[in-house]
Amino acid sequence: MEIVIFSDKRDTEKCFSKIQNAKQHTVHIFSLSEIRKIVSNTQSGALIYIDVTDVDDRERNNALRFLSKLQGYRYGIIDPRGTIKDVAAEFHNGAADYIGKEVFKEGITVKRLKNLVAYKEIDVLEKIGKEGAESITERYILSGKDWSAVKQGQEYTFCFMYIELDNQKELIKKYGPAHLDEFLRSFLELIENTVSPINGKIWMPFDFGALILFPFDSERCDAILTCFRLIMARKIISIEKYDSRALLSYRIVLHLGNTIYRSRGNTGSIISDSINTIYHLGQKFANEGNFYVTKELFEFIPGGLKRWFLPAGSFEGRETKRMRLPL
Amino acid sequence: MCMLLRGNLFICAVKALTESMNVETMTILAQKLISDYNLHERTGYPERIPIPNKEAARQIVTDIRDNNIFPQFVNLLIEIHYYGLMGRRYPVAYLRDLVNGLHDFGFIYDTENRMFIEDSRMRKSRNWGVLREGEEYVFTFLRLDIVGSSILVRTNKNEVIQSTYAHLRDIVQKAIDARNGRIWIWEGDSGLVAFHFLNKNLLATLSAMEILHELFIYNQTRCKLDKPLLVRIAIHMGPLEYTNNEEEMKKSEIIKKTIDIEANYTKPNTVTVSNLVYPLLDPLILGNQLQPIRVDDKTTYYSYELRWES
Repeated sequence: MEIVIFSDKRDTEKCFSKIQNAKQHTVHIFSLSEIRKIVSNTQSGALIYIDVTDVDDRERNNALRFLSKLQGYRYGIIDPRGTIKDVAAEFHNGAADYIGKEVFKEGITVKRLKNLVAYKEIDVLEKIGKEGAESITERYILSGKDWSAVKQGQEYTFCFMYIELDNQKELIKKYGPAHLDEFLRSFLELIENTVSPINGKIWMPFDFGALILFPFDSERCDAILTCFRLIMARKIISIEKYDSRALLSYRIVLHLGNTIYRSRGNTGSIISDSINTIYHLGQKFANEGNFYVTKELFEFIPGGLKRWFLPAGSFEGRETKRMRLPL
Repeated sequence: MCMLLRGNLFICAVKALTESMNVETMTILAQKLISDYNLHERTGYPERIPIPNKEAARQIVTDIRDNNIFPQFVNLLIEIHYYGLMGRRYPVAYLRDLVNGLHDFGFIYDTENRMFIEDSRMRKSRNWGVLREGEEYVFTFLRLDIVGSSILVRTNKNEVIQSTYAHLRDIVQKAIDARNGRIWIWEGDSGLVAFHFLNKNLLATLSAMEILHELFIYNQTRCKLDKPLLVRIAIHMGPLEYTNNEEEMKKSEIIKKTIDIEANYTKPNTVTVSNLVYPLLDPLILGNQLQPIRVDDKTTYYSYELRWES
């Protein structure tokens, strides 16, 4: 779960150290002044905490009123100095947690979060109650076949593609600082040329790879076949594009999930469980030279290619499959 | 090509000759491109009367234009500019303008073969816009044949056959277009593709690999035949006197040999690379990708197939 804390106090983070150590949740901390901007870029389902220590009455009331009107989020109040006089009223207004002096000192535990989610799940359960009759269009916030209907600042379901070059130390050594940038630029160009015909957009480029977004219409996911081809053509690409006398190696992960959409370069403030998931899968789970899809995409693997995907275990509770590799 | 030599480009070519060499040298150049070329005959000047420099250049460029060999002419100017003619280099004026003029008309310079060829993004002709009928060149050939085509035709509906074979042709076309190959013969269930420029052996082999890969995906995702569509592909190289006549082509030894390699030494869904092509390939392909096929005591071919981890 995404935990987003708004606090201007240095020691607030300590209160969440057990959660961070447990690695089941992702914790982000921002200044209280950024609350509206950050929340508007935060995926629904996140847990938001607001630290009211030393915050003047007007600012605190405004922030709490803003949070109480949000839909699709849980929120809690951090108040180690007991500023809030009527705690119960905050729960009546929709708060899911209250961190007083003692809890603040001891720190929040994973168990507490579990209880909190169970407590506030009433709303969620009401929605899920319809799940039996739920269609795919209700499960996803469809972004469409292409980008024409995608608006800035809105949340959508996208297919996320993570691709990163392997053997990075060797690449640095081989190309040297003078030529490494050029090589990486050409790799990014190759990726761009590969994904753009199927509406893929390089969304978050990083040193040795990129996160790519594909609009999703619930009918199909062409990215699977494109990534399949990228793995099959690894030798051809190595020989033709890089003339490097060494086989290029990259790992790919595809995942289906939600995020607020902002254009490339303006994504710094987005909080999304799906983005974290795809980065974690790419960086901590994927093996060199392999291509994985997460469970959400299994049904979109083209029929005949399904047997070319092998169960590859779970990561952070998410089932995956791996493409069989060409020899 | 006649349209090429109008206005500025024509004037530019005349000036390039006039300002860079004497009449004797420009005549030698013309004779390299047009056999038995006689400048006196062409201009009407008697043998004993010297032809003025400018007039000679104008006549030669006109004849070059009328013979549709302007790219070859600029090739020759590049050669004498950079490498010389009979031991002497001739700095050619306006060379950059001539090269740019050719670019504008869809020709690019192939550094490996040191000649202009048509830019396949703008135009695709069977002879790359420059090969001349009756002249011998070295080509690499890709021969492809559908396995068991006659049975497929008997056991599948005609429209399924038509669309499947059309898809195969699309797959082949896409693979070779990216590598400057040209389909010379296509007979529905078989074809012959020629490669002449750049690293032709490598490009032909990579095209064949891509065709196998794409066919695998096609079979898994779209093929409507009662069984997968399989092909045999052979890659071979050698000299051939260029001709536009397909029947003449088929009679040539090199093409017969390529067809023989495909028909007799290639298993379904594999590519066989001939003994002449193999040594000229990239070590990355050679690695463990190509398996030897013993033909006789002296000859070994090599086979590529798509293999998967189990």
